[in-house]
Amino acid sequence: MALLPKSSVKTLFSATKTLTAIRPYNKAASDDPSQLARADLGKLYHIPVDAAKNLNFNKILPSKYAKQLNTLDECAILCRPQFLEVLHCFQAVRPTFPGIRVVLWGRFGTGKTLTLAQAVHYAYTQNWVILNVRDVMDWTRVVKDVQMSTYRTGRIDLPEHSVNFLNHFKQQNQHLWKTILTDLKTTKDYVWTKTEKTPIDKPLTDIVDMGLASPFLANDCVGALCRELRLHASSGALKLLVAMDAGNSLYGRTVIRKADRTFATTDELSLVQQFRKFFRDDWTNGLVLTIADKREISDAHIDPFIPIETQLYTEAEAKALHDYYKDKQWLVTDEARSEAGLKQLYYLAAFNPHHFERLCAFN
Amino acid sequence: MMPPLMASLRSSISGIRMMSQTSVALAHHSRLKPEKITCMKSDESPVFYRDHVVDKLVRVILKDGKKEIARNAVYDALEIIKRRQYKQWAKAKEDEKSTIELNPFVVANTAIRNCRPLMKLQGVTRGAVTYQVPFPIEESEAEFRAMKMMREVCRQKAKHGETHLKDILATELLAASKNEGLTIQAKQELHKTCEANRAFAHYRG
Repeated sequence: MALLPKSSVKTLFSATKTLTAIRPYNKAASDDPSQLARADLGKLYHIPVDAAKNLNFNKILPSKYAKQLNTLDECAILCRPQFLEVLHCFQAVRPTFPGIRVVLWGRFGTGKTLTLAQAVHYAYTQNWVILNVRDVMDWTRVVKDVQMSTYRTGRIDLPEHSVNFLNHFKQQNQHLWKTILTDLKTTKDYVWTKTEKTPIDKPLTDIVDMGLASPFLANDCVGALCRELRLHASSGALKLLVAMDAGNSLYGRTVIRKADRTFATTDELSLVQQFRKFFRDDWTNGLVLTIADKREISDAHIDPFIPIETQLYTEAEAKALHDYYKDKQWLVTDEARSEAGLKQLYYLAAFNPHHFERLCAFN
Repeated sequence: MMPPLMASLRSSISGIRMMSQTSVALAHHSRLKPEKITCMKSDESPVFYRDHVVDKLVRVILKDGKKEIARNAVYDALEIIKRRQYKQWAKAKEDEKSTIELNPFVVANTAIRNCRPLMKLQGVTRGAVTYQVPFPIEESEAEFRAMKMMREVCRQKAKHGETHLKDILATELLAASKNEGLTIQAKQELHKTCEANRAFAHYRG
């Protein structure tokens, strides 16, 4: 084996040292989430800004991070262990397995919602159909208009929330609108009212458009859409991601009052019943990713599921983010940019990602 | 040449006068008067972002003893200032970039310095008539009056339009740092009144 001469080894070594000194922050090997591996842990990868716009990231990301997106005009996210675990769950999805249920849980500010957003982007790059509920607690706690269901007596429809959901679905699946969602057809006749109906063998986009055109039918259309997507996923025609923020609210409490002034239970909401069906074993080829939100008091029965914990920052992760902020000139004060400042930031934020970002925001 | 341990013992025994100038400057004021040791206040913790003007602004804005709300409002205002300046800086051409101040603490300090009045008006009663007499003002009082004027302006603005204090305060601080805005106007009116009442200056006594 021929050994390299000492002089060239020395220059190689010093060249790599200067390269790492020049590189401003820890970048992942690739911006494609499917290429991320253990070697990319603690490194930042970028989500293209137009993808972030198409996926409505302004609405689904935590508000502070959405502001960061707007200010820095860039979406750089740390690759953390919880996201790699979610990627492995994505790769396990197949037509022979029932819908895989994954629950993200963890302390406040550790990256549950952000990991969900990363998962949505991954599904977007892999051409999965995305059924993303921005916040189930919106349905149970924010009372907009309420309507008694005509499909099932005793059930409560939420027309405005259903329309918002259908708009969000349309926005996030624009890239599949003319392809998969138009090619796949309805499997039965849907008779909405005496006059409105969607016959069999019509594209799925018709269900969504029907719901958007007539808000009083929107909730029934959401149910029909969910049913059709489950059937087509099971047949292998599409892969489905159901991403719900605060999914444990499906089994929680509501503030919606019924006619006799008592609070409705979640069992009485049609939207909740429609989404609970994703936790059954009767469909395949999909991933149901939810977040166990601490704000909700719930008793969720969705066993078996894969729990993924989101952790506080390690020193390396916090340093990577600090280097990124320095490179983007987001950290402006000299003290914040120094090593001593970084050490203080570790302990002032107690390694909590949310508090770390809040401290870097005004420094 | 004394060994280092003995030298440090010597200095601690003989007290403050043996301490070097740098250690006096960095020490907390309670350590400089060892006879009266007081506990540190919550807004004096030695964090790297400690700033006299910002802390005083928090205290002036404070209402009903709700320190967390006041502190969050001021730090959120600093964040908003930084975001607005950052957006401008990102859009600016290379030669203009250095003219934009990104550091929100510097902006806040400049703003309060620009709003400082040079004199104050104090009522002096002579023969059942109270005259508004211009008096000289200390630096710390001038700083306080600047912050109080800004606070009153922000509270007035809150009655119509922008409702969050952080947004209103950010706008005011940014404007004042450029010598514009309602607080600067209020200061200039105070100066005008002082100038108009300069005849009463001999009532100062």
